[in-house]
Amino acid sequence: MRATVRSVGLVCLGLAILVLLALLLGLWLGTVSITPGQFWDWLGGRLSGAPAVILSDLRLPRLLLAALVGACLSLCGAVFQGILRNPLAEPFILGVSGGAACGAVLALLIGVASLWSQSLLAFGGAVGTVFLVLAVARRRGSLETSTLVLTGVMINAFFTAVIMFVIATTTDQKLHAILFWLYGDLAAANLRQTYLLLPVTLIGGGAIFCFARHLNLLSAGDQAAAALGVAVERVKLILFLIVSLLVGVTVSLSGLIGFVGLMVPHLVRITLGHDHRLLLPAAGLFGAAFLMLADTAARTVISPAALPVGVVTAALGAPFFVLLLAKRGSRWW
Amino acid sequence: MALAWVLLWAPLTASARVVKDEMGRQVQVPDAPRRLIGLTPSLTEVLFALGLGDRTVGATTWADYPATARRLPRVGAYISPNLEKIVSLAPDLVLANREGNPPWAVNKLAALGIAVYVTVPADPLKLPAGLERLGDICGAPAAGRQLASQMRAQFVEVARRLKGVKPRATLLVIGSKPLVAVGPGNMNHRLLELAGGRNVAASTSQRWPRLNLEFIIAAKPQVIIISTMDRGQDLERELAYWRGLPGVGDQPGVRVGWVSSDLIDRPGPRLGQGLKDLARLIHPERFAPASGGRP
Amino acid sequence: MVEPAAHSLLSARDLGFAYAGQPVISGVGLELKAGQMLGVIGPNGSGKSTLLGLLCGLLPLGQGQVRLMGRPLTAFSRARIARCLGLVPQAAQLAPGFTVAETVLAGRFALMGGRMFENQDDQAAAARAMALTDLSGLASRRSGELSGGERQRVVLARALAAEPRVLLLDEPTSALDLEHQLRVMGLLETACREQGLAVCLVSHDLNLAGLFCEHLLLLSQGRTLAQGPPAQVLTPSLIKQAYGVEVAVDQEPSRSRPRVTMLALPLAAG
Repeated sequence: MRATVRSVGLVCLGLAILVLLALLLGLWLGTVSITPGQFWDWLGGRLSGAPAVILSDLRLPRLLLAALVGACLSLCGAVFQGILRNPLAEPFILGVSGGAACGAVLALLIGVASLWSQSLLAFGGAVGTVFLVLAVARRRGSLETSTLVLTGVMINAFFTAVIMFVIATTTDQKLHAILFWLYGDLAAANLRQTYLLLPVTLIGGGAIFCFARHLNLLSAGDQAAAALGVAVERVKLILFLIVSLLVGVTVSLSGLIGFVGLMVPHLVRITLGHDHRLLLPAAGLFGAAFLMLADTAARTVISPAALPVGVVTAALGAPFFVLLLAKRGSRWW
Repeated sequence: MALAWVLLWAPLTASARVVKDEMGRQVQVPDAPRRLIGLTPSLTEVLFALGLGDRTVGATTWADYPATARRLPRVGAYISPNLEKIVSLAPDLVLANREGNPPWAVNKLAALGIAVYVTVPADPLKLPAGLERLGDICGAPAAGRQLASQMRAQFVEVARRLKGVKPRATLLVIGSKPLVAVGPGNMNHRLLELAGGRNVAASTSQRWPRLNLEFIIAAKPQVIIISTMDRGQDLERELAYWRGLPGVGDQPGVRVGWVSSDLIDRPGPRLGQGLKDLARLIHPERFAPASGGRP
Repeated sequence: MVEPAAHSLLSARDLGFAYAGQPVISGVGLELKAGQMLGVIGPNGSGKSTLLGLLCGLLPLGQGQVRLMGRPLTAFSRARIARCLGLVPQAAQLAPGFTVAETVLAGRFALMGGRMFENQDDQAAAARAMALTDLSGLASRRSGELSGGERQRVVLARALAAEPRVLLLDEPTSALDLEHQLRVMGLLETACREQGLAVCLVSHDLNLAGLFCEHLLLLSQGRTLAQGPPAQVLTPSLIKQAYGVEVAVDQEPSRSRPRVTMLALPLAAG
């Protein structure tokens, strides 16, 4: 599809409707069944009692957080894939999420538990990892898929070891909070987190969108992009910082939710093409809907027990990853 | 807004009071709670032991004692309680455990206007007082006092039997593969000491230390106790493994036994029995039926 | 309005560049006026591609100066350079998954400023560039489905879409068949003549360069060996000096330019 004001607007409108449907479905489904009548009353503000609390205070904050996290992770995946020219690049696979989790765990360990300071340290961990991955991968010349993925796997293994070490040495009280990062869970969602993440997502996403045309050229190659007028190093630096910020805040709020940034941009590309002016807003919106649905599944499949949403995305994403690896070089990429 | 709804809808008990829970939080609890939920298996046991089984409206996944508790609606596992389910059961008092339940669940329930009383079990000797207080808070003060005095009596009896005994080097095995024992700061560690044992893993700094076999061989435990839920063949295999373990179970004078993990892991009404079982395993001579426990 | 023919669009003086301590280019200078087509020839490793990199500012100058439209290149941002100077690199870098039309349209990047979407002018320029490079029929092909020669033409079209005043090309015809070689060289020649485009073309093909460029620059080991009209540069002795190969030079019939034929004689030892 050609990117025009009209096509981008239409796609956004269509996907916004999908986001809304996912939100309604997520509100409706859960351990406790809500009748359509109750739901209607709730929409009109006439519902009270336990069902109202469940909808307003438990399901809604969780869905909103899922939507924002899904949007952020998908945007980050799209940016990494564009800059690194690699369809398998994704915050979790590259180890950037792991770096952020390490930073967040460190924040817990030294006892700064405020949302902001935790996000800040997670951001630090993410930035550090991005540049570590780039340094390692660039040393080998071009950024080849195998190098990139292997580097990410190794970095993840290292961070998992660090987190395991922390778990082994820390007192039990903090244990839950730390285990939380490893699996990626939205159960602890509250509206305060949404208030932090909403402006970060909007500003970060908007800033990334401003670089959509740059990303179109960067995905051709650094030399081509520079020849056509992109200040390659500066643009990459800005984008990496924005993406690290998004990953850092996201991970500090929801832990390690993998593969969203892999699956969502890819599915969008298959349907809408590769132009980042379409891809970025579509991936953000589709990612929001996607993670809301995934979290709804996590809440309901083994109810009343619950799965961490990271388990659901990994169960979907890992086979997807293998599939992509198998058909690498096909016409979609 | 939603908070106001909760307050409106929550059963309006005649009166309520503000108490301090074991974490020092201020909790407003109704004088006579009518809809109770314990967020760990041990707290469910406490509620039933207090005679409040018919006022208990929900329990966590593995809350299996007493047998009637199995019929209660489930509210998820204690490490990831399903808040939606809890809210839908409209409890007027929820009991939680700081070591078992995640902090966010407690905070969130409290933010929804639900009374959450948090217990912090650490020292078995303080458990009777804790049970008494729970009885008071849940509206069964007499039952609470009785539960506490029963447990105190069990503690006193164990202490009487073990009087003047020399602590024996003991390894309490929580898991064999990997080998996990109990460290200081763990309730089981205190229980082991009360039962006349000397915890060979006391020098470790963690609560659930992973040990290697070299360490065990060097520590020369005289008693090895397996804390387990297994019965039958699995238990026999486990016991045989430890009895035949070179340098540990096959040493002269080393005894290998087992204790039901539910009795010693759950800070509930059965802990006194758990202590007694441990003491009997470590110092069987003091529990000999014929000689009346005299050496 | 400056008279195009007299206007020096790109000039370089005493250029020097070293890589890992080894000089790759030293003391090279050139001047490119509107409407001119300059061919840069020389053996492998003589510094041809490096020279192009220096001329467009993608490589840092070791010494000397490059001036674009009278002003030092270093005073321009990448976007401002791209607005008047196009580069067609040797490697045909295309964004995976993009169609030919999208790729060519993306060449308008520098001219769009803050605009997010292309307007009518952009569309028209891209359509012209695709027509010139015989790509109109391939508009909806994805980059992964193109042959080597088609990729090369797409990269050229992307550069042409920006309507540059100076165009630097690195081996733009290396993967093209005879028809498309002629077409590409013809369109460059036309653009030079009619729009005052200035072209600097790196080529291995001595005959192609001699046939279409009115000026040649022969590089050898990073230095200028000869510079001037083809007849002065493409001589058996200079070629022997630069390439170490015996050649025969005669006249090409259509334009009476020198035609170089390699002779199958054994190479001189050492």
